[in-house]
Amino acid sequence: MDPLPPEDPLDYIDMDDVLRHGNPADWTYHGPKPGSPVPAHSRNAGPGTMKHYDIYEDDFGDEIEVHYFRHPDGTVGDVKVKPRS
Amino acid sequence: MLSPPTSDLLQRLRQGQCGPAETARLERTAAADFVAELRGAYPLTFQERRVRGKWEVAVARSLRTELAARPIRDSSFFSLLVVPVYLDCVMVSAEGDAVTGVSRFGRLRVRAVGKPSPGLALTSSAGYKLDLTPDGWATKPLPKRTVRLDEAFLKARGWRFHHLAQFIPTP
Repeated sequence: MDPLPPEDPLDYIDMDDVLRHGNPADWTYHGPKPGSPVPAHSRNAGPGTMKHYDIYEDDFGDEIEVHYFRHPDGTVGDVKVKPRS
Repeated sequence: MLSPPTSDLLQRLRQGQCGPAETARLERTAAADFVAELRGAYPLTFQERRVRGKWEVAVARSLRTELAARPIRDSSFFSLLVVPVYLDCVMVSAEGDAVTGVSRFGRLRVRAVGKPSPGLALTSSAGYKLDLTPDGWATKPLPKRTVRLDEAFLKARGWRFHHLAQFIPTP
């Protein structure tokens, strides 16, 4: 059986962040932040989970970071928007 | 009626001053209990979505209307629009039964737009968000913003249009 395709973290952006940055489908992907991904060691991240930091440009031309866990089965978790740092 | 700890958390969130005490309380509180308590004081749910283990709910304390002036092209006159505004808004995100985000802001103004596609222009006032990121809790300021979101996207995101039906014709 084929594995499920990996989830898109943009499907999990919080609605309050949509109200500040626009429709995630319209954001422009600028690639991963240097050093990303890294193994996750948080208590809510199981073995094999990676922590990703991706950079996007939002609807307003601002660069933002999307932080999330990518689990070994391709699902994502704790997807959050942060200001560019 | 909100419990004193929840009332205190929302008060501190309004000022962007949440700290370890607030995050520890959120970690001890089941998301379903937190949302149920909020709904008692914030009776208008204007957005709710579940996708796999994620749950997000947006509530407001009240809804009122304002008049907005709109210029008429090539005329010195203007027209008036009735604009619905949600007041005192709280948006909650959860994964499983754990709260992973709470934001609070004063106003959400809703205006129907026809271009580039039918939808809503949503203007949210400045506020703060207490957010659980993969690296821990953080409080971030939310700027005042207007976004245009099309109807299909809003429906997919669980937007509730029924409060607006008396002000904005909806299908």
